[in-house]
Amino acid sequence: MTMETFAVTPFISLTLAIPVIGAGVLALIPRENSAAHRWLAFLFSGLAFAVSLSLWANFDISMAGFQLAEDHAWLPFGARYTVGVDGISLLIVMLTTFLTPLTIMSTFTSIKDRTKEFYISMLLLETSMIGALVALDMVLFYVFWELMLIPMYLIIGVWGGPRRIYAAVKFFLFTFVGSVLMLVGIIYMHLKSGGTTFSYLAFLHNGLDYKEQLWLFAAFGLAFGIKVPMFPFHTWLPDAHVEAPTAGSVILAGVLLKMGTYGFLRFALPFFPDATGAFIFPVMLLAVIGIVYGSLMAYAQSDIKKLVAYSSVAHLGFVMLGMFALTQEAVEGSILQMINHGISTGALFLLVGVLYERRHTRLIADYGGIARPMKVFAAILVIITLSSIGLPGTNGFVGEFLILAGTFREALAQPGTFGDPNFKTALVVLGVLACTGIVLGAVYMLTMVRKVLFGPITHKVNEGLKDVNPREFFVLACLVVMVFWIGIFPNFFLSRTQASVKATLDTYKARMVQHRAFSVPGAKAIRADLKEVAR
Amino acid sequence: MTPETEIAAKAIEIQAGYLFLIPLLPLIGFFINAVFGARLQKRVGRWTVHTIALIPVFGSLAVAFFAIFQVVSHDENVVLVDRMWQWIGFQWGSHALNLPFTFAVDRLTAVMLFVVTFVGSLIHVFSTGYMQDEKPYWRFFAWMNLFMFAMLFLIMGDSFLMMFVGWEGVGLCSYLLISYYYDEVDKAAAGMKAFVVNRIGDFAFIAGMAILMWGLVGTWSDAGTYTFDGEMGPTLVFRDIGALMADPAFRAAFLAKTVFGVPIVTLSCILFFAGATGKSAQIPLYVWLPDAMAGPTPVSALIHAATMVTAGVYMVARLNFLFAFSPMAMTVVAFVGALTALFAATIGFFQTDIKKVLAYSTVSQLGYMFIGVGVGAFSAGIFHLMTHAFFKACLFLGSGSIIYAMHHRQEMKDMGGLRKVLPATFITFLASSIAIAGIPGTSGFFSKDEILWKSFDSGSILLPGWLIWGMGAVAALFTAFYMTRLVLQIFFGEPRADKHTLEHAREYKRMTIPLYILGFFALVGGFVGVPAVLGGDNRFEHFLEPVFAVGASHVAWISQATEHGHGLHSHAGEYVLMGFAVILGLTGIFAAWRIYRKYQSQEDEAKLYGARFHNVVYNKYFVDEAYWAGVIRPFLALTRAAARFDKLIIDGAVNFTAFATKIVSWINGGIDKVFVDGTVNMLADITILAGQRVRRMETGRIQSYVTGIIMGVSGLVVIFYLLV
Repeated sequence: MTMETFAVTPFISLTLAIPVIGAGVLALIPRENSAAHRWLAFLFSGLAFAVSLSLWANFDISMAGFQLAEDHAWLPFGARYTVGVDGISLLIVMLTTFLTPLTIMSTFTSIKDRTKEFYISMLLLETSMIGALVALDMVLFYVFWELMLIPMYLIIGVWGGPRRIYAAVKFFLFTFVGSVLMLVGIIYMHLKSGGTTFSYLAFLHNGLDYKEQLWLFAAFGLAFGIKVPMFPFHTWLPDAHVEAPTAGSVILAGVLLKMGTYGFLRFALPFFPDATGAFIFPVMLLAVIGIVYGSLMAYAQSDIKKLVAYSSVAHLGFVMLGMFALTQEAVEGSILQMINHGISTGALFLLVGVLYERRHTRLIADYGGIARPMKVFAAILVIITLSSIGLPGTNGFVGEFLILAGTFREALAQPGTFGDPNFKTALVVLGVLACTGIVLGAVYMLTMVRKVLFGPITHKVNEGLKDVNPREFFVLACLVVMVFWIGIFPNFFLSRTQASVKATLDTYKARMVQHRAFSVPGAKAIRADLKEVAR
Repeated sequence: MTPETEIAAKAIEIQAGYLFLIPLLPLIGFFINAVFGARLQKRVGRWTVHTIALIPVFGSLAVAFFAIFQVVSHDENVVLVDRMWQWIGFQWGSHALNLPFTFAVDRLTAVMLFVVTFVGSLIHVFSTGYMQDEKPYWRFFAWMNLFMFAMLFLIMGDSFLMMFVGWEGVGLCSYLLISYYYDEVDKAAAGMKAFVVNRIGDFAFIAGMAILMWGLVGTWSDAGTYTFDGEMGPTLVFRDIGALMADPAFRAAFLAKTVFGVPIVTLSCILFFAGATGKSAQIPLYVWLPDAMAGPTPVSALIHAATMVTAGVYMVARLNFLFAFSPMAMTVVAFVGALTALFAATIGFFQTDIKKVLAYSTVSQLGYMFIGVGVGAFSAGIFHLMTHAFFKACLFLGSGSIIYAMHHRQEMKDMGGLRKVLPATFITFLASSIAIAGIPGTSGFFSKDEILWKSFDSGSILLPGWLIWGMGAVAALFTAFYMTRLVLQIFFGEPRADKHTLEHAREYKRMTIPLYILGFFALVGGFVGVPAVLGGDNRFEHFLEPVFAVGASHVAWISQATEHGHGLHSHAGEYVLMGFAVILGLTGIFAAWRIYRKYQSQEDEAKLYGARFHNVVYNKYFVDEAYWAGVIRPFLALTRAAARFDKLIIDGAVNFTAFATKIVSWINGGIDKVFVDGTVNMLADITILAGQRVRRMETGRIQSYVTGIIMGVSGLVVIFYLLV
């Protein structure tokens, strides 16, 4: 990976700066003027989206490396302000800038007190998320990575539900613990590389031996794995989602979780190819456990938001599975699935928010038969459900199919990256187990849809429910358009990721073979590896 | 015959840029009705809704007939292709995965197009009458149009992935239409059951697709040998796979490839068939279809009889070039088909709901089609698919006409003697019934006989042909029996409906015209496939020959293996078997006539056949209950266990860590307060105290001094040791 082009117009910096400027402007508006807060926040996030569109337009899909890069001296100890996008980050940056204005718009009536602080938090959150995605300097990345926590912590803790403090603290501590270990890792790599640089590209060419890689992968992997969240580090997620206000849930599910999966793909895999090889099976196993377990959990929930939260665990299991299959189509499918999850789960949380605003309950049992009073709502909920369970023609299918196809390829095509027949067998089994997620997804989502939308109206109050208003409709319609756009023309999006994924996988595989030819079918080999490390 | 033969089956491709119109038109109809239908119905009237729905359906019928004409008018084997855009495309090194968004119409698709658009249009017309009292009229037609779109997509998609779009799309429409009366809990539940059971099949389909896709990856050497080292890209386009399979060198290499010791071709074919058991309601996944009768009756006719449920048969026939090379998979298909045909037919005996009888009859007839494609008689399977579409659609629409006249009562106990009240329905129902019973000359006779003969003669499955034939023949007997029972109970005897109902019962033209047309085809539709033994030239089979060339090259018939055939495997034998099947059918009719000449209520039947036997069969062998106890309840228990595990163990561990941290910090805080703060305060106190004490220290006692020195030195040693 290299820097391909430097930006003439600093699009990335502009995208980063606009929300911060917006936050600054908001700070000057009097507290009482809620309408101004709302519209200014929407305006600035919309402006950021507009600028990011030019990022999209100026992106050259034939290049594998980082584009539109900027590089300036920053801190005295070697940290620089280096940013750039490649095919891997571009789509997620776009997702962020696309979702944020919609989310802000969705809060116009639900957030009533402390609007000023709320929208400042939202805008700062946007900047920090984009920052973490475009940063090519590890200190800069870490700063943005941690910065994300604070606005999110506030959004949950201040505007959340009754158990918001517990949820916010849980969220903060959980993710913070992982991050600190990553910081140690970054400092170690910095010292190892001569103590002069924190540059991502320099870190790529580290001379770490296998033992060091194992430890560092564990440190980075824990930070990212908690964020994803992977089983068994997922329990912060349902709590955070249930307590967070709708907007918080949308951003949390839509973008924040992607930071974990993005982190794996951007940092953990290319930095530590050998260690990735050692961890590949356990991670895939955890991913598949996440798919099945998350689905079972989702079915058992009585709270719609919790159901959606657990479905996120299952969906991100798919993302992780595809990523660690390390084949071109699986990794591209995994990136696309990150976007899909952002869109469909974001939309689901918005829909739950619509219901919550009307009835102030999220329990499935409090609804039933509301397809009759809320026709448009019902139609959108069904469409999003179908996207979430991966019906062909919607976005979910393309991602799932590519991930599964890529996973089976590693198992069946000869020779694969790993010559080991046991590993291939294990992959087929994992692939088949992952396929069960397709069935389970339909079971829990359709059960929810049936109980909420269909049947007779069991609660008198629900008869008078108002259908979605034009503002809500606009927000949801934008997401529905994306559902079909990605589903019908996926190549438009996939082609952006192609070159970068290929380059990443190529360099990754070349380095891995260089370092050590190995095969790790199961725990035995890993135990031996770890023993070696301990010695 | 030998696998080494080169098969020259490559079709001539003709670009046909208009094909996309066939599925697109119903989609447009769907959009208009879905968005504006409710308002149009309210402000302008119902006629706008069904006009919007019918125009696109007849439009695509016209375009489809044009396409069919184009296919038929060529003597050579042609395939019409409409390539639209690159759907998913990958390039890595020398590999490429290309999944174009392409529609294609070959001879097989042409047959399917005819069935779907023709029967579909008639059912749309019928629905304008049957559904006229329904309030959400627009919703019905919107979803019917969406279904037409998905079904046409399914049969016209030229790759696995395109087919899968339609495959799941029809499942979705089935779900939506079954739960059309969504405010009734059981109907919504039936829709969901259909979707989830279908998904179980789809899960197998996806796995099969992925396994096959990578199983096909390999490379050609200059010497013409084929090895699988990943040089050539994978493909999911049917024509490409078919062309590959036509090549002996590729075939030899591909067939040798295994996973877990199972040939890839067998594994993927069985997975595809598992997908088909979901969509086409075969054992063990047939359970959704009887429940699907909760949907409006035209839906049952279109989706759950004529078109969607036959998608599995179509798929196996389409994949003849794979199935034919796996005797194991072929045997599974044929045997499951035969078993389903027999099993479902018996359930049909005692059902009292006319739609339930027809539903089990459909399951049974689909089993027949699978026997056909399973023994390698692909065209016979498709032939039965077509004739079944005529007579079963007619039967369902007829039952719709009855149910409408009976004010939505569908139990036979409320009917009887309707032949005078509903004459048009009676005539067409009777025509279709004799067709399904296999009375010579009707369409069902030709197609069913073809399947039975081929199954007897089959030399390429692992089971003896007579076994499959025997199961099929007995199922034919049963079919004749329950259909006769149905006709007698509904149309003959004394009317059991109340006076009011009978007075108001009438038939609408919108409903009878489709009935007449379908009834006509049920009678004469079989003449396109009159077998050689009856002096025909079996045009239907010859028409489809090029499509099945690759598969047929590997299917063996015993009668052809020997010079002129021997014993029953000869022309003479074919006559004997045919006569035997006809006798069985007539026996069934006669037996049913003996019993049901006069009305038998459910209680009478229980007495007649023995209460226990009747109970088991009437309750469908308690299969639904077994699924509940064996699958659904354990699943529910598992989700609850998972939820407890998550709360107690995983979140428990998290909260325990938090709690432990709190305890530690509390102790820390305590230590802080007592010791650290204490130390500081103590130092101050000590200074004060020391001042007071020191004055008293000068006691002059030597012991005190020594003690002090020893303690001081040992203290220093400890500190020194700790520090160094």
